Order: sequence, then structure tokens, then C-alpha cells
Amino acid sequence: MFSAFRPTQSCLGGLLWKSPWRLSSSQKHRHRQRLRHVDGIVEVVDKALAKQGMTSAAVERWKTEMPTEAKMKPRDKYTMFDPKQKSYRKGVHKLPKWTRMSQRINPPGF
Amino acid sequence: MASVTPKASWFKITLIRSGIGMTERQNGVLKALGLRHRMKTVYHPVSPDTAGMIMKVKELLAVSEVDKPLTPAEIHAKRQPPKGYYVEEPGALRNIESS
Repeated sequence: MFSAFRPTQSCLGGLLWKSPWRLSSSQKHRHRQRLRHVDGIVEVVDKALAKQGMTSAAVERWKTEMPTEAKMKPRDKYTMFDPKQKSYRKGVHKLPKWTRMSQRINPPGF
Repeated sequence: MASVTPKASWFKITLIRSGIGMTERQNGVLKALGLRHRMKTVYHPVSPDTAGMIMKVKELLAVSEVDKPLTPAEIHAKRQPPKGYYVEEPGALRNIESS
């Protein structure tokens, strides 16, 4: 059972990638930190522009469309829409490069 | 509108997450901002153009608003550790001896 040649899934079949079904609590914590970091950047940019009496279409659109971290439901923070799943949801960590992307809203109706 | 023109300010932008593997468009924005590698800091004037660029790659950056931009030499000097010694001036020594 503990030998070097034990019949594990990766030994027998070759390639086996395991990624947990759900996020760990520390992953969720860091994810919330990243969400708040992005919120902070949008706020800094918006305030700086407002001081000069200017606006930016990209910032305005983000503010109208995207909820802040505090306003997001846990469901939207940690999972995302997936048409292939029975429940139409999968963990947000299944999204490639999920730590460097913004994934906050669902398609209409979901 | 003849109000007082607001004081110019700058965005201090630092690349804290690498752009490797991101889309060509996002990497192009990083190049346009002058962010060639991680922890590189650049200063850009506050304008809608800069704001739009920041919004394109906001997940990779740290942004703050500052009154004036620092030159690369000033950024370098700020990053240096203290030398651990200082050189006394001859005049200061003479004053101590005489008193």
C-alpha cells in the first residue's frame, strides 16, 4: 500500500490532474482580498478623475455593472456559471488564471 | 466654467502581478503603460486615457494618486538601504574640540 510501486491512479493511467471541487477557506480569504483590491483601484481612479472634473467611460461602466466585494453574494464570489454542470455552477477556481481575472456577474437568467 | 483649475496629479502605477499568459491586448496595454516587468513603477498624469488603460489591466496593478511623479533615479535612491555609517565634517569636529 505504501511501496514505491503502489498502483495509484497516476501510475496506472498516466496523466491525472486533481483539483478540489471547492475552494479552501484560505483560498476564499485571498480571493476576497483580491476582489477588494480591485474595488480599491476603481475607487482611487474614480476619485482622482472626479477631482479633475473628469470621468471615464470604462470606470462608469464598471461602477454600474459590477457589484463590490461587500455587495456580492457568496454564491457569486466563490462559484461561477457553467452550462455543462447539472447545477449550472462550478468553483470559480476552475476558471483559467482566476487570480488575475474579474469574474463577478452571471449571464442573464442565472 | 471659469473656476480654479485643479492641481495636476499623477497615477503611481506598479505592476504587482505578471502579465505572462494574459491576452495580447492586455500585454499591449502593459507595454503602453511602460510596465515591462513585475514591481516596475511608472507615473502617468490623471486623465480618462490613463484611467481606461488602468481599467483594462486593473487585476495586475497597484494604483495610487500622487502630487508629483518621481524620476527613475529618485525611485532608485528610495529603494537603497541605509549605509550604516556617516561621514563627519571637519568643521563639526573642530567645534567639539574647542568647546
